[in-house]
Amino acid sequence: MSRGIASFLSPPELQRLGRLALQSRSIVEGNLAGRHRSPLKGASSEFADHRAYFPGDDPRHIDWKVLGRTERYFIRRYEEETNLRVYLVVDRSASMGYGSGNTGSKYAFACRLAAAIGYVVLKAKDSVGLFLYSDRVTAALGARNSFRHLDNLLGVLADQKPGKATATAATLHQVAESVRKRALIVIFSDLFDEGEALRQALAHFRKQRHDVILFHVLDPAEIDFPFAKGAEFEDLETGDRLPVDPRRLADDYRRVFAGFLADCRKPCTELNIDYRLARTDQSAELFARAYLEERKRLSK
Amino acid sequence: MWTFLNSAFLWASAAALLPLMLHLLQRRRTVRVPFSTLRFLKLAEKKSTSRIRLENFLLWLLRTLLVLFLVLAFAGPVMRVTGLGHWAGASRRDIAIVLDDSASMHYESGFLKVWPAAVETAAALIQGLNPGDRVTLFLARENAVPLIEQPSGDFELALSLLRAQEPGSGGAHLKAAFRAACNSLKESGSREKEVYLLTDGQALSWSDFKNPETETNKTAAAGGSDTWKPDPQIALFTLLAGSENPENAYPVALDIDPLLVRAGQPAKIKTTIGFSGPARATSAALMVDDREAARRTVNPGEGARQEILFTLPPLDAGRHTLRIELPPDPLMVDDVFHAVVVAHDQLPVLVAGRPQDLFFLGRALNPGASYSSLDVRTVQPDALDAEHLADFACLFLCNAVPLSGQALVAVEQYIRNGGVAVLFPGDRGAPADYDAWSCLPAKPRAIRDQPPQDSTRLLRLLRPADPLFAGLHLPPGSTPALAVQRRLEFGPLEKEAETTIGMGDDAPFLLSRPFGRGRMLVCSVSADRAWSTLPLSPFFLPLVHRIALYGTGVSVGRLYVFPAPLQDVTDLFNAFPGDLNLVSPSGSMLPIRRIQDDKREVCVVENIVHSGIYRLASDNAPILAVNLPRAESDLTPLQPADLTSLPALSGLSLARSREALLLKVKEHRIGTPLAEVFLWLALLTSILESLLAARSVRRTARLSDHMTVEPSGRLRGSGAEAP
Repeated sequence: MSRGIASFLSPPELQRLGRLALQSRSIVEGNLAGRHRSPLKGASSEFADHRAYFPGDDPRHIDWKVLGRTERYFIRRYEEETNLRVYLVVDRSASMGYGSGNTGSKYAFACRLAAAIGYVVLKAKDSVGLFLYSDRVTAALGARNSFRHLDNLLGVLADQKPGKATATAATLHQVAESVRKRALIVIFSDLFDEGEALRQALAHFRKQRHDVILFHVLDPAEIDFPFAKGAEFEDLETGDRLPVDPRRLADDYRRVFAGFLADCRKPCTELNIDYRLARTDQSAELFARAYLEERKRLSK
Repeated sequence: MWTFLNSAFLWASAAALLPLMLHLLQRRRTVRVPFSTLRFLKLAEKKSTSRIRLENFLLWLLRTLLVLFLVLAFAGPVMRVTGLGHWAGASRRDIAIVLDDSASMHYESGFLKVWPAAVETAAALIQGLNPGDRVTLFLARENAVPLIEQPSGDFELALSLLRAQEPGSGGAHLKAAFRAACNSLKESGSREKEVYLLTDGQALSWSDFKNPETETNKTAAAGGSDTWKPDPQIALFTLLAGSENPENAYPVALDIDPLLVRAGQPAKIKTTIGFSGPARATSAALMVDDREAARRTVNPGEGARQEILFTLPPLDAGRHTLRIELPPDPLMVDDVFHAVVVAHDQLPVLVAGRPQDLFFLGRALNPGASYSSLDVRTVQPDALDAEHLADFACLFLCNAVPLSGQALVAVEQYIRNGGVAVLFPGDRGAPADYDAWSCLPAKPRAIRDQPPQDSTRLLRLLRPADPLFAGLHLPPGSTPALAVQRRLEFGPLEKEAETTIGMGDDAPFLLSRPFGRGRMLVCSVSADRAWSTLPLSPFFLPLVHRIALYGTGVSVGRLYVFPAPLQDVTDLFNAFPGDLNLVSPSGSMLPIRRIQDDKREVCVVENIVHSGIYRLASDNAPILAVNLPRAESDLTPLQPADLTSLPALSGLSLARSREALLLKVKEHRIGTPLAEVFLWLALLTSILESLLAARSVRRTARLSDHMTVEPSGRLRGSGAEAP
């Protein structure tokens, strides 16, 4: 079995994705010069502003034209452009292993989507890193801009299987602490955690001035609860069992789940986080393309 | 109390546990389904637990009931009314049968024959009794007539008595008979007691139940209480064997005008036709001496009665039979109305007085025309006792006082028997001569000479509505004034006496007093010119003619009578006819007997019960017309709802046919089968179960239908509209 990007996306899919880019909606800090705006002022062609000259400043940066007009010394400042560091945060809790019908598991869908996003990031000469977690961070790879690094990263995703309980909020706090410089955080999770804790974790990212994209990965059966026959439902994370007559419980389930979705969307709207609902009954490549196209259109 | 025809089916009631067992088995065979999280399911279950439990309970209840109802339906449950259960079906019983014997039971229309139906129903009830049971039998007429008063086990006797009866000709008071029937079962002890009222459903017979006033009077007179109710242990049944929409047309009454029919002169006959049921045109024929004299079409209008007029053709002197005939209808006994009319040739009038006193009166009564309606006979006052006064329609006493004692008795007897006597005073009689008279309106106190200045007196009719003055016309332009020289002065008026004509403001001119069945008239002036100018006044002649005609009219025989056990026929004969017999319409001979009643002799005939013409056996002359009372002809049907609401008839079972009544009796004795009821309940329960089950598992819209997820994952729609 091939490891790396080829195990997640086919060449035609990669070709279609190669023409796209993931734009950050805010300023990011990178190691290399790139297409993204940097918080640092430095040598570039993009003029930023003037400031007063202080002894010790490089005289090469003195604006002589301003001196000629005002007889005062001013230093010209330029914006520094840098590359984008993208961190893929993937939930591998047991609930992500759920998949109904012919659709694969939510974790598999999240992996394919992460592969597509990572590929697009690298094609744009940006860096990509990975955090994989369940009840804690089980794998963390720093951001680099090489395809080998992407292959290693995807190899880690393929090697790990969903299986443990989830602690999404706590883990996101951990991730937020780990990423010191401004970056683009892309989260793939079903967000089955306590609502307020989740909101605080997302706020933590925004506090660190990270740009955050949240892919809420859900199976269609979780949304619509289409079951008809009475059955004993078993919780994949806790192993609890509950006998249920789905037809008589469906109304109330849908009502509760609609409330859960609203609880997930509300903090994202408040924190300017890009929230997207990713249903596993669709193609991950098509979904990624649609999302990137829209994000590109909106960033212009 | 319950019994079951197929009690073996009750074992199947164990199937009522099936729904519960199926539910438990279903829980045990539950499939395990892995799911991402139970978090939302637990929240949803917390919300809907109470609802689902209630639905589950109702479904279990309905399914269990459905099974039980089906089992009960197949088990053939029977509910008995009495509390003795199955054993009562074979217990001893006493029954009382009340048969309506009113005239309306004659009703026959097509296959519906009320009397035979009632009799056959009674026979079926008796034949349905077991050895050891007992029966009492009553006829409901005006009073209760017991045929078997005490409970008897002789069913053959009961059947023979029953079948020997015929519908009566009068009315019926069912309550009295019903009460007698209930009382006859008082000594029945612990036996089953049943009372059957077999009637045609005519509302009239039940009026005593609805209007207790009449019954109150009877019971109050008997020292009883009106709050009487039958023993609650008695089961009450009634058969309404008559039509629910009966049809009947019947002549109600007949009047003749003038009341005195003169030979050779026409008269008017007014008759009233009554209707029951839907309005329909009919015809009425006037038959005179069995020949049709006239016919009229009768269209019932708004009311239930219609008056029609016939012209009675001129008749020969003598007695004639009249008949109003309607075409035959379902109740034929009241289609004919009989009457006997007497056509008079000349009216016999007797005038007692001396010739010199009768000069004016004699000419007034017999004015000298070639044909006079009055046959006037004059006699001397002292020869009056030799006359047979009953032969005369009217008696004039003109200055005839004093009379001999024998003549006075004859005169008073004549008046008491219906004659009219007129007394004109004169100079022969002093006021004291009137003391022996007991029929006078007032005792004369004195003979007063009127002063010349006060002699002119104007006459005034003080009782213009008195039949005495009917048709009295004074000549045009005449003034009813008299010049009075002398007059009789009267003492206080006797009881029921009155002044019919006044003379001025203070003196009476003509006094009147009913006496017995006749009338005594006394004038305050004489009939000659000695006391006043009365004989010369223009109203003298019409007044005495009117009195003579009135006298004849008053004593005329009755046109018809109603059946009575003892019929007074004195007025039909001027004198006691001796050993005479009447021949009834059925041909039986009925002797006329003389009895003493209230100090006088009267002629009576017994058993005048059949309608028709009764004739003298000696010369076949029609004497008496008898008609059935027409109250029974009003066939307005009973409203069962009104009946069952009466306290005295609570629990009454009504049936409209013999078969229905016997079925009710069977249900009462055996019980009411309820299998059909339980089948209906099972159907109802299954419908409810289906509705509830469909409601609990109904499919609602998916959550995805309330949200729009764009291909890029952008979510539109709040999800708040989720089901």
